[in-house]
Amino acid sequence: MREIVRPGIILFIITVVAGLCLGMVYQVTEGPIAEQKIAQTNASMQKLLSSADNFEELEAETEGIESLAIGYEESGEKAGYVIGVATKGYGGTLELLVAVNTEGNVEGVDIVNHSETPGLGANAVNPSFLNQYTGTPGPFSVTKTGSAGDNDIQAITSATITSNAVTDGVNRALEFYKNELKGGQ
Amino acid sequence: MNIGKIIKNGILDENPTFVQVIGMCPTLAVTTSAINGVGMGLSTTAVLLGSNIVISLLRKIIPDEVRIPCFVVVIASFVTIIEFLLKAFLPDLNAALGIYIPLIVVNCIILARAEAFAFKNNVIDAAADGIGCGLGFTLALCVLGVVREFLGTGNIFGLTVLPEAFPKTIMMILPPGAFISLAMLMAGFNYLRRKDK
Repeated sequence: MREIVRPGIILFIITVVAGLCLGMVYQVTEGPIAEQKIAQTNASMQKLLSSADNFEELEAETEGIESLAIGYEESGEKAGYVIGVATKGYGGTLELLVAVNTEGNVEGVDIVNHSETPGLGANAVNPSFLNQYTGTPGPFSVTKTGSAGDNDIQAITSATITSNAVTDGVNRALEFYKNELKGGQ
Repeated sequence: MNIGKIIKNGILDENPTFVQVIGMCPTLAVTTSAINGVGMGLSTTAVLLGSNIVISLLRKIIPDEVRIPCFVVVIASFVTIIEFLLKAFLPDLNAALGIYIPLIVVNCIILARAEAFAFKNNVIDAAADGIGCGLGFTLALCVLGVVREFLGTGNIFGLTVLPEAFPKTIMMILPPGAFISLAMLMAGFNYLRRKDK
């Protein structure tokens, strides 16, 4: 009997101690982790919408729109919007942030989360691809030959599905801007 | 055994990747570039060092019959605590290594070294073994990453080495390339090791 109970009790004690340690560390780090996350989102939004100084997050009620934030300049004037969308890529969900300024032009696109193939679809995070979206009001279409107009997006080699997914996401964000945000709010 | 010998043993004679052939999932998955290999290798080394020390300290307390569940609890808690601390206080390091940390929990090198070495040896030897095996793993992942990145994209550590016009073998950064380059490197490593003797 003893040789069955003793190991059980020791295993129990070890798991309890491990659990307590985890709980304590979680308590201590919970606050800082949440702060880091907010700081990170703000920094990535600011990178996209460089003229804005602070952001006000709103509830996104429209289907297909994950998040919405209004960026304000230091003077308090509205600088633009940062719209979060999720689209289906090759390897799973692609989460994008699309910054649109008050004139309706794309200020910047950022891929927040993806599971695309390394070396192929994952190249979509490179500025050389994402910068193709900036400066125009869209809507965009993907091209596999040489890029022609302002609204043509040169697809990433061997990653057409990813290129299409990002472009769809950006177009959806722009459509949402046109329907819901343009002219007042 | 002296410490230097234990470390050398982990890097060469018992190299986790090329000789023991353990921890293959992260090896094949993350070595699409050299920097990924180094990041994964160094994070694993840190965890291996910590878990070997803790297991070695607890080796008199943990009964033989329940040692595997105890190892798993200790390793998983240890990795999770590191993950929390990195996220909270070292965001830059977390941005660089954070994606590898959840992968380390399921890396069987950690459990294998706990079972094969740390559970039977004193703390200092166990720490040396953690460093040795960790560095051996890092070396293997780095070499594999360099080979695959070079052949697949023409870069090494993100720097362009081959001229743009040079044809790139995209397959090398896809899963088949991982198996092919691992097999070639493993054969080469063991050939050299045998010739040495």
